[in-house]
Amino acid sequence: MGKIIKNIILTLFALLEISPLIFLLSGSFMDNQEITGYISPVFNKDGGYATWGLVPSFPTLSNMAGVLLDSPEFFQMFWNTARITGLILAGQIVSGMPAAWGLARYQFKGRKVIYMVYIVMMMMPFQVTMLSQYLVLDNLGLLDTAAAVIIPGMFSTFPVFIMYRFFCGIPESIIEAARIDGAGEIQIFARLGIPLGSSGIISALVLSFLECFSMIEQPMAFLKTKSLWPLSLFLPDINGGNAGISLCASLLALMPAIFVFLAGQDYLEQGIASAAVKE
Amino acid sequence: MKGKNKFIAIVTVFVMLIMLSGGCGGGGSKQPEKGRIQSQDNGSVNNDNTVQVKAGTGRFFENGITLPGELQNINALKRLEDGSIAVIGSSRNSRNGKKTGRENSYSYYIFKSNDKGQTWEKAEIKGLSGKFMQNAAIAPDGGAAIFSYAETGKINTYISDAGGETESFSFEFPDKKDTGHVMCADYDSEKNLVVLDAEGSLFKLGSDGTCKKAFDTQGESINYFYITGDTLVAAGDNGILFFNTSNGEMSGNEELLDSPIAKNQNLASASSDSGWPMAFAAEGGGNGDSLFFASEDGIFHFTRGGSIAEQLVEGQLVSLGSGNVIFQGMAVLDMENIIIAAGTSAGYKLFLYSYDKEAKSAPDKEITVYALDESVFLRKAVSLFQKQNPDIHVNLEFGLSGDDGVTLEDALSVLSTNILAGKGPDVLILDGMPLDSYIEKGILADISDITGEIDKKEGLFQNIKENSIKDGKIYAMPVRFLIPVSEGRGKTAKAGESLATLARTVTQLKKDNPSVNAIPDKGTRTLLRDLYYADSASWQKEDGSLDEEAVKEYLSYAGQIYAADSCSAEKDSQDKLFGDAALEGEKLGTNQSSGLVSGDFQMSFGTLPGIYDLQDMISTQAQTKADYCLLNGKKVKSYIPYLITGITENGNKETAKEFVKMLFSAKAGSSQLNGIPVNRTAYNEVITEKLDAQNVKDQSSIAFGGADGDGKMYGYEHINLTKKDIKKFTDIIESLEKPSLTNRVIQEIVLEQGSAYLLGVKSLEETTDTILKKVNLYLSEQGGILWEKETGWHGFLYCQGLQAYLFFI
Amino acid sequence: MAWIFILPGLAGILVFYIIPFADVVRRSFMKAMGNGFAGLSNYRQAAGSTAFQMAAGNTARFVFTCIPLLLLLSLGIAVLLQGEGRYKHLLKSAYLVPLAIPAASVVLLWNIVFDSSGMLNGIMSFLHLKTRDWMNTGPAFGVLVFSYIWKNLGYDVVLWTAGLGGIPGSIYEAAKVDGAGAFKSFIYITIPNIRQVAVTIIILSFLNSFKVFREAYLVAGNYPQEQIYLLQHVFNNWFAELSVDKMAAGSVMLCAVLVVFVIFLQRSWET
Repeated sequence: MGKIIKNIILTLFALLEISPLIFLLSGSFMDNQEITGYISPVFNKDGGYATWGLVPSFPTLSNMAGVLLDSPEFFQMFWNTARITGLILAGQIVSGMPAAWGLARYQFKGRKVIYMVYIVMMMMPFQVTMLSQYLVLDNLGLLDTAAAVIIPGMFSTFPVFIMYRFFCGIPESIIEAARIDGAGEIQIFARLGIPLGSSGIISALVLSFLECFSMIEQPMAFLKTKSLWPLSLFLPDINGGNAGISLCASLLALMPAIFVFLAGQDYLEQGIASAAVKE
Repeated sequence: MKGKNKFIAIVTVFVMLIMLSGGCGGGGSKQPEKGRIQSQDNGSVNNDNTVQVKAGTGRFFENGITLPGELQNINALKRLEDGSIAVIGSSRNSRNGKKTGRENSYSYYIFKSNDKGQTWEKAEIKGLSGKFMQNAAIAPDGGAAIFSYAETGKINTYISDAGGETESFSFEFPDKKDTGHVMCADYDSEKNLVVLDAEGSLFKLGSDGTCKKAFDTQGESINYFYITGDTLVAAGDNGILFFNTSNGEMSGNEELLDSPIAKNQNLASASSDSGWPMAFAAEGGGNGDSLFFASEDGIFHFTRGGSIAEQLVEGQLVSLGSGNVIFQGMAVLDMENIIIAAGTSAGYKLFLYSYDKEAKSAPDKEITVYALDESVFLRKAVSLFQKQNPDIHVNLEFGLSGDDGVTLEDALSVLSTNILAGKGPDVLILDGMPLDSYIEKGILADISDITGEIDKKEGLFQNIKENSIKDGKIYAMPVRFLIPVSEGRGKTAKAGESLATLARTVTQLKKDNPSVNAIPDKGTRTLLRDLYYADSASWQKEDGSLDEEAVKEYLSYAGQIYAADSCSAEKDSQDKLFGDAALEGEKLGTNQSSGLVSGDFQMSFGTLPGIYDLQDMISTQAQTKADYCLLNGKKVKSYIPYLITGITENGNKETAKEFVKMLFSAKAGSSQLNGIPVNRTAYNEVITEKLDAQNVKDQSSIAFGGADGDGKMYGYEHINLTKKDIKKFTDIIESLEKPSLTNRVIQEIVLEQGSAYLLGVKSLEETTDTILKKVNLYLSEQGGILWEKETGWHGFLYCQGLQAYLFFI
Repeated sequence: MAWIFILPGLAGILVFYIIPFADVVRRSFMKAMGNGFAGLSNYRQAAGSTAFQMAAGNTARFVFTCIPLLLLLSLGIAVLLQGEGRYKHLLKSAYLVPLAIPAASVVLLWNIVFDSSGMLNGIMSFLHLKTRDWMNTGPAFGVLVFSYIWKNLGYDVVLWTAGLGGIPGSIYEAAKVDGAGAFKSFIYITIPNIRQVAVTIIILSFLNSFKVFREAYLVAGNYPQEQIYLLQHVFNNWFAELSVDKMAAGSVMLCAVLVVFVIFLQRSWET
């Protein structure tokens, strides 16, 4: 009995969470007339209330074709996102991983302060430092280039925070044993830290990936040229006649994110779990 | 399980790597090459086009060429085989200034010049006098083809030799879907005529009147074309296409050439009976490998198959960019001399663009003028200034181009960033901007010296000038303004005296005559905006906050007026889509006089956007026996400031002042559209012109009209203003007391919430409450206006409290 | 030795985050334009403005309403999920879906659901309940909390599941042998063991709570219903009208609160 209630609760929440996906899925295969019919009360105030059909009355592939064949900007933006995300993640591995290791495994003066600075910088809303970041990027001549979004993203403190907690969880005894065997510090990091931390690193990257994938403020502020914009800014006029295309584009846009999430989920858990318990 | 996960992870990394490399490849090749494009692109479409402006020394200059003979119109221009240029044009037949009784009687001429248009040889085209020309084409040997109207569906064609001797025949397009109009024509290398019909198809025309579809446009509609050698270059809806004239096949397109057209979306679709929005020409009559393209954006040179489009002339720096330019043809004499024939707002003109090796390639000085909304008036003013000051380059930027989803806040944030980064504009058009905050921050410079000088020399409307003074200085002043009016017959003529009388009158009119609309169909936003302009000047209390009662009254009157005529939801959504752009950006005005003539409605009100519309309104009133008054003329007589201009403190002040001086001057201001000039000389000039307007005197004044709902025709004729009309209008202007609230954040809140009330979604109290709350939130952000006095250290205590709260939790 | 690892990253952080933030601190003592020193007057003006007070209050209220709610709800679900074998994976994936949905679609959906002519009102009127303009009246705050929880539930569930999974099963076995019930084991075993992971989750939830502004802004504009008027609204609006001086002062105050909060978290939970 308890089990059934439990399952009902869990399923209800799951349904609530995936309802937008259902909305996107059905909307992607409706023709515009049908969509407009459903949402017209909201956008045109022509009486009644908005409704939605779970199954398209006249399923059509025209939206899919519209996005895949007739919107070159969709692909342009898709590749921009891929490039931005890929380079940021690569940068985070190169800069963030050693930093997290250094902070986690060594005792030195100022360690606590640096860690605190990292966390506070991570939590600051973007609006606060937007202007000053803009001026820095301007001085470096990076404004309106993809680098204006990529380089600051590479140095994001968010993955350091996640990886730090993980590296802390590696038992000191293993490291000591390696030291006694005569391994250098960099060797210890490369041979022990990275493999032992692989699931933690992947979980940081998965979270970072989502972050980059839904980045809105930074490209909006630092990229003037629209051909550089990432997919997250793909915002066609929704109340006009092309709601179907916009829903379909959203559906396609969320696919990679869901894929990465599914693939990385277990690492996410392992990473956090070991970090938390072994500390 | 573990193995499977690793596999998935590896696949993920692999996919990401592919995305990464693909991204770099794809993105990398499309990086824009940073050419020195100075022309303003309005932020839309992609900027991938590779356009370069010549750097270093050397630059093209514009020179006007006097039109040959008494030509009033130019219909075609071409470079001939022998290197000379030929023009076909017409002049109106008149004897001693008297009308001949046939106003549309023209004589047609071919003019030829061997010296870049300094001297001309004239040849009258015989047998054409009195005919009305549709279009013309010039043959490479100096002959011409003239197309003229005949009986329905047919087109009379006159083939003239270089001396003006003509033969004629008539033809019709094979599928007689249109009424027979040649949109564009040109000769191919075998001296065959190619013509374009109104549907966008190309035909070959035989000398015996045969007309065959000769080019496979693959469904693309052609708007304009040009032939050089055996290549036909055509502008279609989606770009430029090339055809081989001997076999009619498409020989490809040229992406490079698409770019200046793609950049300016108006070009591809625009076409007009009297010319084209663009022109092509080939270098020295070649085979089309070296092509020139002209549009309002400037003149460009392309090499087919090349990778770079070179911008020779920037439209903004010359007459081409002044707006309303219609091209009639272009002739490239050599790489350093280009002639363009164009219709402009000042009549038909010939321009010679010659290259000066010694001149600096770009003007020395540069200023940026920034406005939120597109403005035709501003564009023209910039063009005028540019011509007077060729050594100054004016960048005109519009923050809200309308179609790319940029909101007011986005635009203002970008502006703030630029100002703070020291890259802000030099001249600000402050319509819709937080003017008070800008003044408080000290970013605006005092311009009272400029306004003082103009006032002394040409005069300014004192009431408007006085309203712009703050602490003895003028930081910003409107260049033009609009006034809200209401008009109607008999008693309703005075309905505009207050919103209360207006609402009462409209309701009464509808009650007395339920079958006819009381007022023009306005959507919620247009109606609310019209009334906001008339009423909002009286809303602000001493402390800057809004008077709740005033807002409530305004909403309730708007509600009554809206309810009197039931407006359809369709109108409302149209209003939402098009209304704002059309009414705020271009300031077209919303008063509709013609409906009183047609009987579509019984009275009208809205904004009056200029002297032309005053004449229009008074012309209809002569027929309808209606009269007008200032809307809300009793409570606070208010006006709508337009183009509120200021200079930034950190910008290039000296040059900016030159520009602002010109903007306020009578010369720039004497336009009968786009608002009423605040410059009195300009105002007097424009309005006294209407006392004795030439077209009205000639009795060729245009009679306006159309068919009403039942298909019954109606019309009215433009008449001249009387001295009395002018006095009444001038008195109204001089009585104006206050500008309506210009802050767009407040306006937007009122319009958005007010719409919900008019549509019945919200109650009056709820709406007023929401508006007040939102506006007060806005005002309190500004600080200093509402609560500054009593706060002091209270805020700090509050924060301490917050911290304590954080510790307790 | 540690510096070799830290320095490359720190250099970048210095350039792109710390220097800009130092610039913000500097600006908080300067006039908006020019180089005039303004002392504490920016702080006085910012803290004294009702808009800022209201926004700070709303933000605090929002954070302290939605974070505990989210933490409890997600922990509950994670605990319920623990026993599930087959569907666990599927369900967890379902909970993660909202994170992947682009902001534009979320906004469209919120409009369709919560508009005064939206679906929710459709249901309300069908049930003969009072319809209302959800985004512009009192419930707007609830809508915002809902949208935050909706979006971040999966994130926290996964993190909690991880924390729970890290507790060795042998401890529970031992407790069971000692006669402890499910509730007792939860109180005495589960809670102490997930304290550290809780710090991570709280910080991440806090971080994500600032991101809800994006939806609030896109749905309700920059002057929303007054209870969902957050600090970022004020910062954004101040910036748009060039009041960077006040914005900087407000930011520094926010930063101070954040530092205190993080120190407090670490002191109380980590040691």
